[in-house]
Amino acid sequence: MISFHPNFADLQRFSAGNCETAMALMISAHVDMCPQCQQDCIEIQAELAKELFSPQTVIEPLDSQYLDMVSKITELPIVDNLESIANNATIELDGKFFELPRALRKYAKNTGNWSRLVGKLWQAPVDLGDIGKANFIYMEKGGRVPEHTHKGTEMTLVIDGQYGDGIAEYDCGDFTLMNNRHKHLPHSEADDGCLVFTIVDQPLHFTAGIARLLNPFSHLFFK
Amino acid sequence: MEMVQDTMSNVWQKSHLFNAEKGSPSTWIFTIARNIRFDMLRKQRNRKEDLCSDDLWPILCEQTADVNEVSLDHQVSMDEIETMFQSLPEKQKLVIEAIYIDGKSQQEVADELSIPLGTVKSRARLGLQRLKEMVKDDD
Repeated sequence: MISFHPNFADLQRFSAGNCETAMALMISAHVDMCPQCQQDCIEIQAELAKELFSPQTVIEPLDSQYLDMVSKITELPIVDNLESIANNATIELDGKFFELPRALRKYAKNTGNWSRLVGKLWQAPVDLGDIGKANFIYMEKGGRVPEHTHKGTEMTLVIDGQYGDGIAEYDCGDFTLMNNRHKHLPHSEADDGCLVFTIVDQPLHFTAGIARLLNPFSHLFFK
Repeated sequence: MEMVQDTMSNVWQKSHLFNAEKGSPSTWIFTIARNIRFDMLRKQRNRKEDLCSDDLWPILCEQTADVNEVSLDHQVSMDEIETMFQSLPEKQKLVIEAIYIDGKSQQEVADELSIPLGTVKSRARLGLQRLKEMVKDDD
């Protein structure tokens, strides 16, 4: 069950088309998976539409330039069914197939090879173009990411399975936004492990044990 | 101005894709304008990546549902309503015609037909209910 959602202000910004692109992509993918946020967005859009079309503006008489534009528009052909490009709906790791939310399918083809990070942890980088870099991270059962905090923010969406991080337990569809106030240690005890999609804007900063040695290089792995 | 024109062009060219069952026209137009603005801003910043607004908000455009809105698809023509109306029982037809077509008050109808006001109300209600069911079944 989904218990972690984007906060309402971010949903509003998303619905208005005003949030940062990386965030918009994450929220869009979450909304694909979350009926509750779908409903929220529908309501927010209806509100925004109401504001936009509220009759507070003075209606000026239509000038000829405007009428000219309208007549040009009405001469345009009707667009037939919009073609939709078929993207890969799944990504694969070791013979396991994971279905992606619609918003992320576009990036299946931009996903690099899986590499083993440490222990039971796998990573596949995703090139989001100008939006930045993302990663699919797969934790096998018992897999854990060393305890870390963030210099910037880390957005995570659970695509499949469950994991916990010492702060809470996360299920499929859960969206979390972490920043440098959060220190966490993600690990999965789910039988089928856990696949997450994550975008960080700065490398992770490891806070405990031997993993601290990774800090100088963490930009190589976790960004 | 370009944004207005693009939005209106889109509304015009895609109007047949609009599904009133799934949302109000104003929300639909808002989402089109929002998407166009998003794509324009990205273009202005020379973003080459092919992420576009349709990738971010497709479902929402399709799913915006407003139950209070009358669906255009389900609109029934006047002729059809006329036929349905004619198929109502005579007594209900008479009452509905007097109230909704001639614009008489329920009391006037009761007086004219020399029947109790309660009977006028129930005939009107039953008749309308029946019409509503016929319209619904018509899809």
